[in-house]
Amino acid sequence: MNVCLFDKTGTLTINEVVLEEVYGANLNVDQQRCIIVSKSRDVRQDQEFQKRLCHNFAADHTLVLTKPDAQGKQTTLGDPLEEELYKFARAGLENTKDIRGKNYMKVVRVDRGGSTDMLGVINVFGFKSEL
Amino acid sequence: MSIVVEDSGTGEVYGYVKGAPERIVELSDPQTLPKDINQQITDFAKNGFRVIAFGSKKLPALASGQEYTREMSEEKITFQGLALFKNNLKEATKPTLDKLK
Repeated sequence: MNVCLFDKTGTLTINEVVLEEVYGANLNVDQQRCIIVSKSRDVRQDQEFQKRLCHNFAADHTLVLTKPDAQGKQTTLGDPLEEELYKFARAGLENTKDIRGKNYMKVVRVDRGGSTDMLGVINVFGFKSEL
Repeated sequence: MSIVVEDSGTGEVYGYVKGAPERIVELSDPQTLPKDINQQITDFAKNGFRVIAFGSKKLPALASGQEYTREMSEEKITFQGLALFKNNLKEATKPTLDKLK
């Protein structure tokens, strides 16, 4: 190797990472390839593999919730890539760490179009270079 | 990174993992992998996408005092899928690089 070039988001590229597509593995439908999970799908019709994938997007991140501003609005801060996944999952970080009296590290809700899944985070295992 | 989550609706506990596709494929139960997954990952990367892969695993309930470990949540996971990201070039990048050539 004679030349090795590096780039960092926002230098040669615009300062924005966009989630283009999500592919889910559902071997019952296609054993050959992952299949597209559309952004515009009806989430009430999600199959189990789509629901679990969204739970992963909703909970497996290091995003934090800001303190409420003057209007009481809170936003998430953190890795833009994780934020894109979080939005795809229609997730929201809760201010409480409790669900029905049980204490968690954090609580995440996932909007399922008419119903809501509540997820309590028990453990977080941080970034490993191999992953 | 990985995380252990309890679904309060069902009481089920899941480990969720995300990371580089090659590594997630290695950690996955081979029976859960689409047959062309390596080709699919290569094709997406060649087309300029940043690709992240995901896996999950249903975990058993633990007795009081026991804790979930990284190994429990990351070994022999079910491969879940891929997310494709684009980070487009700035308008000025291509002409600038052409000039530098």
